[in-house]
Amino acid sequence: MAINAIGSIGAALNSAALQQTGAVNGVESALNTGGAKSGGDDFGSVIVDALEGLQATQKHADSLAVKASTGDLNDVHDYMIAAAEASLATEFTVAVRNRAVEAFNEIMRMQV
Amino acid sequence: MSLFPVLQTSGSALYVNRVWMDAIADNLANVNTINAFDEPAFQARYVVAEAIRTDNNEAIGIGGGTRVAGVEFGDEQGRLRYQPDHPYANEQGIVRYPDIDLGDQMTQLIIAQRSYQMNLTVIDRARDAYLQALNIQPR
Amino acid sequence: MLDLTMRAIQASLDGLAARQRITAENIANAEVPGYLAGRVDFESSLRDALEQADLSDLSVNTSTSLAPTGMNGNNVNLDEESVSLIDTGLRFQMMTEAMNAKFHLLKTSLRRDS
Repeated sequence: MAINAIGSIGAALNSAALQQTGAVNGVESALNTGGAKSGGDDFGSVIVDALEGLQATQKHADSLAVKASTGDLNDVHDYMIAAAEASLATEFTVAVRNRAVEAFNEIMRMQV
Repeated sequence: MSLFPVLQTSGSALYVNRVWMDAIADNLANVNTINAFDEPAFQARYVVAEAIRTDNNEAIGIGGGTRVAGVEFGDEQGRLRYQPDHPYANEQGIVRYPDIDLGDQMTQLIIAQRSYQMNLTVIDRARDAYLQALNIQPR
Repeated sequence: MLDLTMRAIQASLDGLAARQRITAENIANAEVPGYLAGRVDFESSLRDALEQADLSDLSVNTSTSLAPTGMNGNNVNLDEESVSLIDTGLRFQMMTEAMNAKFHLLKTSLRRDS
């Protein structure tokens, strides 16, 4: 279960195939609700749900950037705020991933 | 349709005010243009401005600036003056002067200039505001 | 390496730089008789390409302005060019910020330490 979670973190950060759940503060809300999400309540699904939220935030910032490049964006601050949000969410998620990898390595180093 | 609508709006006003000043300059340059009695006098130029109603903020009622709808011409009768020794004078010695009031034109010139300056100020402030928005560091 | 968004941002940077050059040329020729102002349009080509999600065939179109000419055949509108300078400069700044943000996202996810 932990190995699945870490593998899915690595894949999801690079893939664009996840569905959007619309959760904006993905990581924080997932950790606060303690994993009471639709996919079950183990650590793996909590992480995956948080990543789907991150994917949604990044996609939103991307679509606003594309609108800005064709000159169709009406409010500049919309894009700047979305980009700041995406950046923060990514940093949170990367921190969680790094901690999870560290914890996994710790456990693997334990002498049985 | 612009990322920075305020700039387009104020830019349109700059153009209209400049055309207004051009018209006033034309009127003032021709304030002493004499025509014969049987020709129309020099007609004063009046710039007609209209508001631009269509804009991306149309839904909440804010328009997109102003534009020159056209130029109207003033009275062609002009003012008749008695100037018998002018080459254009008819048998009674009457010539036509344009019906342009110097005081009125100078007042309009000051108004046009102040409007132009005000719109430049709006552009300045808007540019500062947008620069601040661009400083929301996304990283 | 560059995804669709980054290539769109890059295309817009190219177009905005071209527009800046044309504006400078227009202002320099503001008193030249018979000079017609130039206009740059990259937005329509970019918008069409984005609808097909295929950014391989983009064009930056330079055309001459159809604005009415003055007495000496010159149709440069200095007010419009000044506003265009400010507008293009701000947009260029915004698109470079956008590009930086995208690269920063990539670099963040590559980081091993936190």
